[in-house]
Amino acid sequence: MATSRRTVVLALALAAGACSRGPKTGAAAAVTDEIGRPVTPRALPTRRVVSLAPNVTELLFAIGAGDQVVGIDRYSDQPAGRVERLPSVGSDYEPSLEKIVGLAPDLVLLSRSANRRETADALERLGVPSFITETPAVADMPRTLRDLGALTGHAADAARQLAALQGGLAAVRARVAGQRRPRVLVVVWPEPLYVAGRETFTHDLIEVAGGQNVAADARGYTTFPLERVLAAAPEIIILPTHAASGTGDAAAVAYWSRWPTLPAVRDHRVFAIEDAIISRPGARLVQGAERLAALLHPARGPAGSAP
Amino acid sequence: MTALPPSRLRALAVIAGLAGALVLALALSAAAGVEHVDWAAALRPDTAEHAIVFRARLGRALLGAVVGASLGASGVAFQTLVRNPLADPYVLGVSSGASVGAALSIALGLVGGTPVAACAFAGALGAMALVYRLGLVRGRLVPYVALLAGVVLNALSWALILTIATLARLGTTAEILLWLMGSLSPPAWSRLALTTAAVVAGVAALQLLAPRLNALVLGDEGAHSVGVDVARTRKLLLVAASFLTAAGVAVAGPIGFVAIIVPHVLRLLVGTDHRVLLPASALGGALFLSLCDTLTRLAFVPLGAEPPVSVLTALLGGPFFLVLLWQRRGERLF
Repeated sequence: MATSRRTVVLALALAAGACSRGPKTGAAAAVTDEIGRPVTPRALPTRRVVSLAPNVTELLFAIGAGDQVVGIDRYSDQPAGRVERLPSVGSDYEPSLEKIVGLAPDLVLLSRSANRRETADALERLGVPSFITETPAVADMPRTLRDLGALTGHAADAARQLAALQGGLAAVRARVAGQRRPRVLVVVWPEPLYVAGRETFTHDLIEVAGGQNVAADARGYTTFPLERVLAAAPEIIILPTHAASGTGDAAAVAYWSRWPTLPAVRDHRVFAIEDAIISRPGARLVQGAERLAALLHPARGPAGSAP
Repeated sequence: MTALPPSRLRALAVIAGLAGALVLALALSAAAGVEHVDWAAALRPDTAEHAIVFRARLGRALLGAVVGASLGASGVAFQTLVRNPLADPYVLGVSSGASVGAALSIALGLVGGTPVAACAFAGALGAMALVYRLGLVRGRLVPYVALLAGVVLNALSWALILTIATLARLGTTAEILLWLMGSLSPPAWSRLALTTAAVVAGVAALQLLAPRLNALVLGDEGAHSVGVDVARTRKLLLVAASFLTAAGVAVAGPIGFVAIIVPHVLRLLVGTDHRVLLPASALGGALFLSLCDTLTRLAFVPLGAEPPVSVLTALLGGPFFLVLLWQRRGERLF
C-alpha cells in the first residue's frame, strides 16, 4: 500500500516536473535507468547529452549519437579525432557540476563502475536528469546499447552496433573453437600483484578468445598470490597498458624475466595490450577479442583470414 | 671472569631470543603458503616449486625482515632525536617524501619496482634534507622545529600526492593508491641485496652513535656535560635515520606502526641503553614485519585477496600495544 502511494506521489511529482518544462521541450516520458532509478530526460529523444564515462562516450559515437554529445569526462579518449574538441567537465569521480549545468544537457549519462551515485544525486538536486548505466559483463552490453539507442533516438543504429558486436565475438569464438585453451594471466599491476579475476570484462574476452584465465577463482580486479601464478604456470601473460603511454611497455614486459620457470616467460609470450580494448564496456570489444585471439592462437591467423 | 650484571644478561637473552624467533619466522614463511609444495621438487633449481619456496616466499619474507629492521631501528633514533615518544618516520615527513617521489614516478609512467623505488628513495632524502634545513636554528638542529616542519611537510606531501593522483590518467590513480597502501613483493635478488646493504650500513651507523644517543636522553645540558657535541650528534642521527628509513620505504611503500610500536615494546623489555635497544629494535622490527607479511599471504585463503601488510601491522600491533600500555600504566614509557 505504502509503496503504491509513493509511486503515485512520485508519478505526480514527475508529471509536475515534466509539465513545468513542458512548453519548451515537449512532453518527456519517465524512463528507468539501469540501476532502477526513475529518470525524466528534459527531451526524449535527447538532443544534448553529457557523458561522464569513457565507455559511454565510445558507445554514443558508435551508435551515431556523437553529435548530441556536448560534454565529456576527462578520461573519455575515444573515438580519437572526435572527442578532442568537446568540453571536458572533469574527472569521472568528481566532475564539475557547474560545468555540467552550464552545458544545459537534456540528460547526463553515467556508468555505475566509473562514476559515483553522489554525482547523480547532486545533479538531481540541481534539476539535471541523469541516467546510470551498469555494464559489468559482456553479457550486459545489449541492455546498455539498447538503452542508449532508445534515449538518443538511435535505436536502429544501436541494434546494428549490437549485431556487429555479437557477430564479431561469435566469429572470434568460431575461429578458436576446438583449439586447446592456453592458460592466460592478465596482470594489471606487478607490485603488489593485481590481476583480472572472473567477473571482469577482460576475463570474458579471454574466454571468447579461447583461453583459460588462471586467476578465475579470484573475483574482479584483485590482489593474487604470486605463488599461485608460479604453480599455475600461465602460457601467456597479458599486460594491459594505458593508451597514452606505450613507453613503459618494454619495461613492463621485461619485468617478468625474473620468473624464468613460467612458460609465458620462457616462450617469450608476455604481451602488452591497450587496456581500453579489453577492459572497457565500449565499442571496441571485438577489436580486443581479435587481438587476444591472435596472441592466444597465433596459428589460427589474424582476423578475417580464418577458414 | 666477572659476572655480567643481571640487566645485561636479560638484554642479551632478549636479543638472542629475537634472533632465534626471526630465524623461525623466516622458516615458517618459506613453509607456509596457499599452494601445496612438493619439497623434493623445491630443492631442485629451475622448478616452479623452487621459485615458490625460495623466491616468492622466502625472498619476500627476507625483504620484509630487512624493511622491518630499518623501521624498528630508525624509530628508536627518531624518538630519541626529537625526544618525543610519538616521533617516527611518518611524523617527520620522510615517508610522505618517499610517497611523493613514488606517486610522481608512477604518474610519469615508470613501470615496475626499480624506478619507483629509486624515486621514492630520492623523495625520502629530499624530505629529510628539507626538514633538516628547516630544523636548523643558528646552526643547531632544534627538535621541536624539525618535528613541526615534518608535520607540515606531511600535509603538503599529501596535497601533492592527491594533486598528482587527480591529474593522472585513469588507472594511474589506482596504481598510486596501491603503492601508498604499502606492501611487500618478492624482490629481484639484486634489489634485496642493495636494500640489505643500505639497511645494514644504516643500522651500523646508528650503532656507532648509540653511546651518544644514551647521552642525548639526559637532555642537552646533560649530554654536553658528558662531553657529547649535541648539535653534531643530532645532525648525524637525522642523516643516518632518514637514510635507513628511505631504504626501507622505497621498496615497500609506507608501512605504518612498526617504527612506533617496536621501539616502545623493546624499551619495556630491555631498557633504554641504546647499545642494546638499537639492535633489539632492528631484530624486533624484522621479526614483526616478516610475521605480519606471512599472515598477509595466508589471509588470501579466507579473504580471496591479500590485504596490504600495513593493515596487519596496525591490526595486530595496535591491540598488543594497548594491552601493554594498560598493564604497564604508571610506569615510565620513555
